[in-house]
Amino acid sequence: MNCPDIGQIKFSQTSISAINDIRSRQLFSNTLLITMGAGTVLTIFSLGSSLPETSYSLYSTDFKSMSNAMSSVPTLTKQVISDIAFRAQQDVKDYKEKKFWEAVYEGCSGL
Amino acid sequence: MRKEIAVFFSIFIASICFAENSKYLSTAINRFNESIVKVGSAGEKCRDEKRVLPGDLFDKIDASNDEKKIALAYYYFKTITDCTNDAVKDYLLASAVRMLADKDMPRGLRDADGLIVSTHLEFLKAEIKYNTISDEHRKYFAEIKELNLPFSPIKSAKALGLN
Repeated sequence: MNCPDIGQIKFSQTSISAINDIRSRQLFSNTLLITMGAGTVLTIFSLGSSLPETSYSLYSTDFKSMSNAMSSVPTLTKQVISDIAFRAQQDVKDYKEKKFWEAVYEGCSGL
Repeated sequence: MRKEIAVFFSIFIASICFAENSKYLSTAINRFNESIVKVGSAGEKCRDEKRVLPGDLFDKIDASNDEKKIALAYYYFKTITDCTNDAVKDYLLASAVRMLADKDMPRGLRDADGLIVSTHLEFLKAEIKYNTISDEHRKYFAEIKELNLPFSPIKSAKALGLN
């Protein structure tokens, strides 16, 4: 969809709740990234004093798995934001707010 | 000499155990990471579906617009959770295994679970609202095949005149 030119917008309580919901999910997303990173980094340090073969195995497998998982987190976050945006778009009454949440859900390009 | 051999032997055994433990932990982490990728891919596959429901889909039902909107939201979240159920279950298992395998695991993993099951929570909310609709109307909605496959919810709501 084309990016809407909404102008001044006053958010209702429904929208504010949805925005807070998105903020908290983004925190979850950051936590997930930290959890994956910390886990692997801890493993690297643990293996630092171990045999070189084991270190090679860590590089080829563990990092690949961490990297794939990390690249999935923005996708997951986007999916969660879409769900919240859809719910908000259905619940709000104001036209501008509806447009706002629709653009968040669908994404937009150009003007 | 015996004492030195014993010390050497103890260090050798400890280093093997340490390496085994690290491998055990890294396997748990890898499975956890792989399960995240699977949840993301499963969700993406369903959400890429841009199907818009036909505008006359609810014409034969004598339900209010609010009830139709509730049904639309319920089936939207149902189709997405149906798609991702297996991947989410695998994730939750991998998350539990990882938590038990990793004594030093960051405490935020429970929060991370919240991100993964978020759509299931939305489905639960939608289901509670849906259950307020009469049995007769729910039976009618349940018979509409188009609602049981992923669809684009906002565009469909517009097509159905519910927006």
